[in-house]
Amino acid sequence: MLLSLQILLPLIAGLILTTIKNEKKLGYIGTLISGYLSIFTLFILFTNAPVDKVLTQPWFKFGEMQTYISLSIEGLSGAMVLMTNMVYALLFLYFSNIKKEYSNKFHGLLLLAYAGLNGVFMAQDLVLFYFFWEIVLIPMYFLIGIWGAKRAERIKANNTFFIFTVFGSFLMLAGIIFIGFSLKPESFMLKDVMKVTSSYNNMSTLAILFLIAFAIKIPLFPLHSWQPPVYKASVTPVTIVLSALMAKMGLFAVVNWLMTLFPIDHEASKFLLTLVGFGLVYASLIALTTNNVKKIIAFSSIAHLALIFMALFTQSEIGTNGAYFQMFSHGFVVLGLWLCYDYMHKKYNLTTIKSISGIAKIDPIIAVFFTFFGMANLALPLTSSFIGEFLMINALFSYNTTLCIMACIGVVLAAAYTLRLITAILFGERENVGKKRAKFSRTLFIVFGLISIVILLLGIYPSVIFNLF
Amino acid sequence: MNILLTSALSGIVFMFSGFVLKNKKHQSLLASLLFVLMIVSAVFQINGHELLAGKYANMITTDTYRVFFFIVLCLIGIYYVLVNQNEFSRPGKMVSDYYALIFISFVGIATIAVFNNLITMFIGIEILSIPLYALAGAAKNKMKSTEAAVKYFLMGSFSTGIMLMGIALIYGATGSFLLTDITNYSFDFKSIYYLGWVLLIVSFCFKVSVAPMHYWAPDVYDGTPTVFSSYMVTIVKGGAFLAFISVLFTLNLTSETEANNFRYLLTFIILMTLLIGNFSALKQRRVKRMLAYSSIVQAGFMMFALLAATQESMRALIFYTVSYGLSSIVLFYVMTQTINVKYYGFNGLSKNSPLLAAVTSIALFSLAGIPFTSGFLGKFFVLSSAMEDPRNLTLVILALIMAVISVYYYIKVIIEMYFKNPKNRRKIKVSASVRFLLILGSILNIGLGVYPDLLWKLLDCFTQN
Repeated sequence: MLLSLQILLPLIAGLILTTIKNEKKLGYIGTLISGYLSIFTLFILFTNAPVDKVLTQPWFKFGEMQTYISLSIEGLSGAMVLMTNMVYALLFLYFSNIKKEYSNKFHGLLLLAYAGLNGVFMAQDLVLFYFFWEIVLIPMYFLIGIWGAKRAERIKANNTFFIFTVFGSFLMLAGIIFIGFSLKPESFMLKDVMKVTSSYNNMSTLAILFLIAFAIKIPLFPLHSWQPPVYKASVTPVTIVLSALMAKMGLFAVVNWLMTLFPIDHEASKFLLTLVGFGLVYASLIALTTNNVKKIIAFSSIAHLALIFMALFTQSEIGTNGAYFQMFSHGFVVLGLWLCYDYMHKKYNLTTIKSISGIAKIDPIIAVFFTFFGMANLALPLTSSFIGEFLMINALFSYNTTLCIMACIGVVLAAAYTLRLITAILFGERENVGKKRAKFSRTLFIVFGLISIVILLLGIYPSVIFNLF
Repeated sequence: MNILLTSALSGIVFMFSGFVLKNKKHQSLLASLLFVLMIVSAVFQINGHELLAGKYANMITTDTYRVFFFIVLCLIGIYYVLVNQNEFSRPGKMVSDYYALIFISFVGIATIAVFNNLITMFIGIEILSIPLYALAGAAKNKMKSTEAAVKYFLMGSFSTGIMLMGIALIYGATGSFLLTDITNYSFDFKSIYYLGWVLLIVSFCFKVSVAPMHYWAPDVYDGTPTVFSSYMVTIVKGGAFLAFISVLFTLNLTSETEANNFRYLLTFIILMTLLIGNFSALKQRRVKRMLAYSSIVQAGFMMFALLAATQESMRALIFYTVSYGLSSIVLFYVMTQTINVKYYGFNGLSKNSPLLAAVTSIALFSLAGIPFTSGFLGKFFVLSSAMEDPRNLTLVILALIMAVISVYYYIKVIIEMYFKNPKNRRKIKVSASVRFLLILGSILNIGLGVYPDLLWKLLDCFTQN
């Protein structure tokens, strides 16, 4: 039963925070809950404590189909839940203690999304999974719509986002209904559904229904168009949840549901991967040419996620391991980048790479951290991304050389746009940033320091995470 | 017989209650008490304790499913009269008469719940409809209300004619009105028999407002005073569906081609409904009219339950009715409180009344079919019951793609409430009891969305075994 805490704690706190009328800022509740859950998850995963890693309770029945409240924190689920909790803890620590600008409702909605995310990563029942998958959307919808950049712009971006994702989810729902009531497995549990789908021969339609839903969330190339405007229009904490966690939802679903349920057709997946690879290069090129910092990070994120997706589909052991590892590590790298952006945006009004320069001279600490996260983004050895990308490209090479070349172009371009971003902002002539040396508060130091430690630790000693899978 | 007696008694009580009861609150309390009386009598009927028991020449029967459906409609009725307790005086002064008309139309629903004969069913449908013609025109000095009443009456009479023709043709082919006997038709009259069925289905399409007989619905629901359109789209539609499902499931399709033709007919109806309803709703500027079209769409989804004659689809229909009732009653109530029923009327509601904005959002998400609301499980259940036949996969996918369009026009209301610059500021006063009921309704909506067995457990309480 302890597992359900991962969902119930943020859910209840979120509901309370969204409904009470209290002017006092209660953002620290989020920090407490996510901090507690991080430690709790670390405890479950890395000690041999006698805590159940699986929870199964009957839920409701329709006709002969039984659904279960079935949660599991084994394998990739565990890593993803750990990442969600830690990212949330650092996020809350940053935003609730240092900048008290967001209301209780904002924190409440973030907590609701948190509950949904943990649910998605743990659910082992198809219907339960769908429930959490959809419910993450609702708090995000309000978070982008109420807070965020210019009104007209954010309403439009938000609408596109909502309609896109609902479209994908409804297609998946059609697939779920077909599996449940036409193929008639014993129950909606993953292990039962697997039995019927592996023996059913006309799988491609069903697989496409699921794939579209997941591809929209990740987002993959032809279906990515909702993402950059949304990232641009939303405030940074929301962007972090979107890029560090919600994108992982899509990838996780690909691993846990799509690839487990449906046998992958080699020819079709080659076509798909070429498309994704094209998207990777395309996104990297846009990141290289655009000037808006948020857009650069957004497109770089699209490129990295595309690479992970490609590695997953090689189905080799190295590839999947690398992809799992990178899913975990990418969350922290992106978190670091976004927090640095937020810091510089608030302090120096950073929007495009032309708006400021020469921060390194007046604010060396943030410059160090930003450079470090930038290096992690371009996968420098000793950072966690290197391990992941090395394994993934290795696997892609033995799978298909053309795809590998595409991925390598992406990696090279990643170095180019990250360095372009860093040099433009941190170095060069000092422009409109003042001359005074800025103070760097201790809490900020702790937050950025913790993220860097995680990235370094994983880069030096990756087996910590590999042991989980 | 029990429910017929108690519902008729309730109608009569309310016809004369205007002499004694003047307070709005007391009237709504009396109404809910009478609903409770009807539920109690229904429970006795299921368990075999009947007043004036008898078959009355096979005119009536007691069927557990249908009486359950009746109980569910009564429960929605209780919620409806309590939530709208202060709104009944808006269209005009004759509040007790409105209640009387509502209870008389419930006699129609009770008749539908017990009929065993096409003639009884016809009478039930008529008793259900006629009070509504009067309710539609309740706001006498409003042009739109009068227009709605006339339109509804003319179209309603027309569809009644079609229904009678259908019944007559079926009688011609089978020689009987009994539900149990109309399955055996003499083979020489096959074409007449099926023509009769088609006419019957078409007239039912009118009653439940699905395409191609939906055209009256937007004007009528829009023109009718809001409290009464709330009643029409929820309970009346539920009653009409009850009649539809109980008649349609007796249809006996002997050969494969006939079954296919029947499926094509229903598929055509569903697709037309979803297409027309969604694309028309997209264009509307008035929320009330949008909800009228959306009620057509929802009826289209309820039609999925008719695709396969199984226990599951019958249950799915009950669940869908409850979920749709809970959401619609709340939405229509909120519309009585906003300055107008256009999208603009909802502008700034999150500032003017956070509670109303919150319950509206939950109701809208439920209509859109987002999980953790009963609306999602309603859609899930009806679509699942249709999936009994794997060939329906394309239809289900198309229906869900249509549902995406519906999400778009539902969230337009949310955008007005939460995201747009609040322009009209005024305090909205909602009495404490109504506020409690609105919260209760939303909790129930979410509760049923998380634990749907709640409804079946509740209904199981009513039977002895």
